[in-house]
Amino acid sequence: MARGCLVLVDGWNHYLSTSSCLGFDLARTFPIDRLAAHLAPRTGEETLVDVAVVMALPNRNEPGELPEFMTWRKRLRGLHNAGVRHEHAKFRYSDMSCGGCGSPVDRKVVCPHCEHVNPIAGRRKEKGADIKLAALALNGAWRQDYSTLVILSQDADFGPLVRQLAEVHLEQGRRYALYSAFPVCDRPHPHRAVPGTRSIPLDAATYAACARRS
Amino acid sequence: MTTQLRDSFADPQSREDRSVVFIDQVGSTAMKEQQPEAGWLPSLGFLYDTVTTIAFRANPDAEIKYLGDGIMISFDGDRATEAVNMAIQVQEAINDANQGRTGGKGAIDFNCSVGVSTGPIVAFETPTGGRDYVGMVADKARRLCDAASPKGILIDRATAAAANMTRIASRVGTALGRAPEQYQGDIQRIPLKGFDQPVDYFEVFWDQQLHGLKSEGVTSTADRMRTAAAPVATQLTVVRQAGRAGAPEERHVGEVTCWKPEANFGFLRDQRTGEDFYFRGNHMVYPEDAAETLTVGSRAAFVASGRADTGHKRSAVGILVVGDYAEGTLRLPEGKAHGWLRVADGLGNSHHVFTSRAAVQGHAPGTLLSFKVGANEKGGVAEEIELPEMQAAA
Repeated sequence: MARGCLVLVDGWNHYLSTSSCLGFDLARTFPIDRLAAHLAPRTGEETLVDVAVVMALPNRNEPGELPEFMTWRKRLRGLHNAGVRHEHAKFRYSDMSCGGCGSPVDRKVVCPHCEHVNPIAGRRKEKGADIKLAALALNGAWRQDYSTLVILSQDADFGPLVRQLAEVHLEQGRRYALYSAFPVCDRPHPHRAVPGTRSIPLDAATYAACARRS
Repeated sequence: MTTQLRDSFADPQSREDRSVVFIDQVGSTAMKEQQPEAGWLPSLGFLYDTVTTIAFRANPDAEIKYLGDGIMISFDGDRATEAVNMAIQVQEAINDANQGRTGGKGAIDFNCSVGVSTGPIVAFETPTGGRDYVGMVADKARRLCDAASPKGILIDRATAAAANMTRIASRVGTALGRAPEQYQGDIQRIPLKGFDQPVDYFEVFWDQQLHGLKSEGVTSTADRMRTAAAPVATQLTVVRQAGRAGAPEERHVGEVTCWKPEANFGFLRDQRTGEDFYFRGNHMVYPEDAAETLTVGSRAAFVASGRADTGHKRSAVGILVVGDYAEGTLRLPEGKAHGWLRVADGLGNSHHVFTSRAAVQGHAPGTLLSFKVGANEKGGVAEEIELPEMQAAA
């Protein structure tokens, strides 16, 4: 039985919550490798068994998506060299259309007062990331690859996964620890752990330290 | 003019990898002494015309220099296969012309010897506007040609490594069902004028027998070679891993012709040589992206692995998808106008991607750099080189 920490990152969930909480654009720096190295000792583990980022990349063939794809691609290449695996999910793209005539409708709403253009979210939806992350966690549990799991996500959908993992560990009769890590800030939006896990809050100073390279 | 040529020689850009073929008309001086001009001049004309036609057919970019009774043809360094095949075709054409229809005398009565050498050479524009080459490679081709017997074709070790010997063929060899590896004779050594150390060479077995060297006894096994019916296949040295002179590996660019993600394998075809390569997902530098980035028709830069003479397809390793991004460690060979960015696949096979020195100026060897994978006909080329985002942001 291996002892060590497995870090699984729900890429988009973690990235978006970090952006909204901490306010800086992390796409270029996204310091998952350093963050994982920081998290393992906080859980009491001395070794990192594996680090994987599960996320969809923007489809470079969709209009306007190429620059974002390239930014993420470069960053994930850097993470690969630092030992972080990228597990692919996919984006599903859907256009908005008029319910009456079916004509395509622009996904922007212009404010009639200040004329600010407000993009409507939901043009793309990540598919398959949750299930892939769950499969990695459960596979590792059955194979007894790790003794501590850290999920970088705030997604409550992982609640059933955590319950299942606890059952597997109990069945195997071994010590286990399940954590979820997420960014925190002073603003009044929800900062919550995945149900059934111990929380590791990550503040702006931690992120800044991880993003800063010597 | 002299100053301009001196500048040309000093320019690092003037160094090119070339395959140089030297063809010499054997006994031409005696022929000129013994025969009237009307006798030997048509023979020389026949040689010039034949060589010119065959050389341009083999490679329209070949450069030809006529040197009295000798001819020097220069091919791009990755056209070594065409250079050797051209030498064979020239010998076949001269052999045909020497034989009359009923077994009597033919249209001509002379033979040629051929030497082929590959490696870096200095290219320059002559004051008269032509293009010329100087360097050890040209000298070696000339010396090998001088050492070869009439009808002989000698190639140096670098040419054997650079050429795809599975694509070497002669009419006699085809008729006799000769295997590709049987066209390359045993490795031999010969002291050549002007070279401190004996030079390694192979004889190309294009005819019914090997023709060997002009002077006997200069190599320890020359006699054995001359009487051998055929070279032994196991003694052939097809050094595929070593690659071309100057390049760390044998680099290729190809197109995915088949990719089965569920079975995790596929095939790549080098568009230039037509050779098919087998690969598995973990032969990619970024195997986790295989399902997303690889499709039939994708272009990829890779390194060949395995031997060409086993009857099996060689493997493509260190695969990078052209147009995608990668990160590699900078290597700067001393005295070269280029550098390499080293990446490695999941099995540890390294792939050195070419970059010019100018593009990596200011970066120390060993620096990790991000680049976009481009390609030319020789292999992968690094474009848009920069520090990885994380370091740049710091």
